[in-house]
Amino acid sequence: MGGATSQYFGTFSESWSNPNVVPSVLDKPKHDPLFGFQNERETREIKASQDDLYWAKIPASRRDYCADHLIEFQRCRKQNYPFLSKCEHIKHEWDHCQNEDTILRMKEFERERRLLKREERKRLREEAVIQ
Amino acid sequence: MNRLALIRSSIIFNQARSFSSSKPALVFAKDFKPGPYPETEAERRAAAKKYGLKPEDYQPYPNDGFGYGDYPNLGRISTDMKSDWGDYDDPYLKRNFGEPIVVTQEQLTAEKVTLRPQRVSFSNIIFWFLFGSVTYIGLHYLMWDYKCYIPLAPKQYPRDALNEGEKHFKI
Repeated sequence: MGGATSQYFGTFSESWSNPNVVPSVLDKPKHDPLFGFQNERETREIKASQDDLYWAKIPASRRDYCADHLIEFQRCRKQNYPFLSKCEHIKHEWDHCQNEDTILRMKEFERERRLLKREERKRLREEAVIQ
Repeated sequence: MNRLALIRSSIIFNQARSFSSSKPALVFAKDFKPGPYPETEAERRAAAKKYGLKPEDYQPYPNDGFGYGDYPNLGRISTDMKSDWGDYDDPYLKRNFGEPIVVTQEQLTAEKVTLRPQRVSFSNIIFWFLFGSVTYIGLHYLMWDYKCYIPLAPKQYPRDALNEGEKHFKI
């Protein structure tokens, strides 16, 4: 595999040439998330409840799986103002959580792509058998 | 700046009058008024001398009701069309002592408008404008089906996993 940029180019140029093999970036994955797993997959958890997010006034776009870090960060900012550098560590945790979330999205995309390719391979094999 | 230029050119204009007549002690607005349109050759010569021009260079505006009496028509020359490097008595107006000024001088100072011919023709401007528009809008529609994106699955939100709606797993 090439670097990150060549992977981007490879992905969307393949979506031009062979669109039914590349998953959409707008739609959620269509395959069963438990397909191919012998054991149970570990569920994503968030410590903060929806009520916590409401009362912390977290905007809808930030109510992701890192929102509990964000609540901690905002609380730290409020308590330590104006010495905001005391919250660097919490902010770093939040950033790290966002990074992990993005890596998870990359992995989900890759899983969906590989499942689509598997379906395409099976379909081509069946066509070859029929002919 | 405009008012200053007017006052200054008025003073110089008054000095120009002193070629032909004695300098008045008091100057009124009517003293700046040009004389009647010169009909005879002698009147033309007198008017040319009054404005400090040679008789063959003197050319009044046509007497069609919209003219300026005997004031000379100096052509469509704006200030910025004169040389930048001349040693002028008045560098702002690029004008020497006693030199007649064009009728619309206060509209034609260097920082306002120019009467120079355009470097690029209007049809040339329109052509390149349309060329650029068609190129970029055409590319937009040509590449409509060929999108570029970062390969990421949509972001997962805990609110979508509420009430067994969907399930989010780690990898």
